[in-house]
Amino acid sequence: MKIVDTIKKLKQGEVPPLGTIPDSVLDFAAGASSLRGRFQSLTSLERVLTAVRHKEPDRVPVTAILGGGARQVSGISFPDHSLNADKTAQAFLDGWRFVGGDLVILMLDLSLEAADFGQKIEYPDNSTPYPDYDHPLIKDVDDYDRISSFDPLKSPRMSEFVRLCRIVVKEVGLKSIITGFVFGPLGVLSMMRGAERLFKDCVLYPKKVIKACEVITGVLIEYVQAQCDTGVPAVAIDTLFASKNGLPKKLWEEIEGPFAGEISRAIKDKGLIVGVHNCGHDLYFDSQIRFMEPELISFAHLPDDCKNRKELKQKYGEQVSLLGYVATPLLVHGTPTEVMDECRRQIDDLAPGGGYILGPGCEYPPNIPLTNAIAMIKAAEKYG
Amino acid sequence: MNMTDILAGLEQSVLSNNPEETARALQAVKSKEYSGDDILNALTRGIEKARQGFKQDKYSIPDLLLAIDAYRMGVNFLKNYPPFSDAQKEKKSRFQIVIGVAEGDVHDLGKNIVAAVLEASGYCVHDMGRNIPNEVFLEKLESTKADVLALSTMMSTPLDNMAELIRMVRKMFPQTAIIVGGAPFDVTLAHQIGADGYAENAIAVPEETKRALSCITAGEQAVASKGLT
Repeated sequence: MKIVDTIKKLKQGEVPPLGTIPDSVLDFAAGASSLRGRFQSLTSLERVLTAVRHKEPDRVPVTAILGGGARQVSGISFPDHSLNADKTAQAFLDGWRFVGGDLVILMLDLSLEAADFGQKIEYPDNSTPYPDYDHPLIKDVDDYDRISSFDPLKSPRMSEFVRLCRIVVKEVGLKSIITGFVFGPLGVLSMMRGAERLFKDCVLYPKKVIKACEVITGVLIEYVQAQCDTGVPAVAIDTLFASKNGLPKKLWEEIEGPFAGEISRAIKDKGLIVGVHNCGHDLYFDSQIRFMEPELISFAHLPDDCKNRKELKQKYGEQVSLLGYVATPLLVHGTPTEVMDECRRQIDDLAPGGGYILGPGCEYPPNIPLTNAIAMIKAAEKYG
Repeated sequence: MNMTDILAGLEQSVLSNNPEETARALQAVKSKEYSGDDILNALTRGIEKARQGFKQDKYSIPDLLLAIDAYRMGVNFLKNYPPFSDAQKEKKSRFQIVIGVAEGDVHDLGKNIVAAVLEASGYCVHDMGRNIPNEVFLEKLESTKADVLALSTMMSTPLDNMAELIRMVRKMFPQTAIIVGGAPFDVTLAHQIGADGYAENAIAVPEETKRALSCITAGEQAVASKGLT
């Protein structure tokens, strides 16, 4: 992208596709922000971009990853939060304005993509939507062959999500970084088959699973490209099963790795930042980096090849930026003081040198009070 | 093939990731005069090796799931093995466990693994399934006089409801030990919510169940007297 176009985008209140700007320019801008951050407060946009270029901003950027939790601010029901882009946008915006934070990750329920492939979904009033596993779309292994492609922009939930991205980008402008989201092909399949049966199928019928992943990935690529076109500066790919909660590393690399790579390339081709979200235990940082080359990994647990977070920072801190990883149980039962203490410990270990965003390991628990979300924001301001 | 080799083959088939191999091993067993206990012991050794292998990172979750399927195939086979199935009906001394996923959650993978591990450890497991209303749990506890209620969720949204269920169980069935597990839990939250035990994963669950039981029952002696492994 030419410098004139970059300025034009900024004047329109949109973050230009950062991948189209030469690294030297981005590094210079990040260096300048880092220097200025010693004397002045940066904007959220400057803060995040400085951090992901592995420079230290004025303080650690932070996000509470408010998904369903943001509904509490607006009084929006779970079904509306999932199905109506206007109301979802209102919830995200109200949540962000109420709690604060430098990054808004548009994470909805993980059944979104599967719903458009035809999986029946339950939308309870008091909880996150989930698939009706009594009626899985993939009832036996031959059903993998029946997964068919469609236009995500003409499907109900994916098109609403794209509309959500557009609304939030327009409202937030340059005040924060907005991140799109997509569940990886194996995740989508797990919603249509059930994780247990899918895992066994991956061992017993890998070719069937791979064939289905191929069809799903085609749709997901169009879906993420549509997200990119709304002006979001980043899209996160959820590859949950690249962890010990999912498949063994080699099997993940054989089955989902190449498809996750294709989705990542589609995002990068649009000039956007690629994030990875994976809240599994002992996740495979090395494999995910190799296949997706993300700029950022959002994680809830240490990777399989690191014993502690200092080792994590040392091993991967220069390759990717880290987002995390305040534990969900602590957010549920901890006092704000306990949460802030944990944030301080994580900041001490992970923030030096940049490349770190403070946040929860996964979506902020949707039904608990927002006090601990605010505690994370306060911790970044106080200790970051 | 001698009799020991056939049982070793059955044990090994549990770890083979190949349901056909287990079926063949069971056919081989059928042609010989084995006691049901010999067959069950071979299956149990297989599933225990899978559990230990998972603990040592030699086996993955899919491996463990396929081992559980093989074990269950063997247990179903034993149901049609008349001398054994009759003898099993007489074994009423085993601890009863009611297990299920709390209402509002359909993630049952972890619960299924834990149920199989407990079954292989000698417990009589009543698997209620997923998204189970509190009153259904209470009815089952009443009808089975269960010693343990094992509750699971992978989401934070059912936690309030689980806390309510635990309060009711404490009141109505004070002799029932309660263990919880799943992504939103840690030891602190498990105790805050009123559970006697917290099982982080399938590796920890047999020990944690014994520990929780010993808190509720007359202590370790009672646990030992029921012959748990």
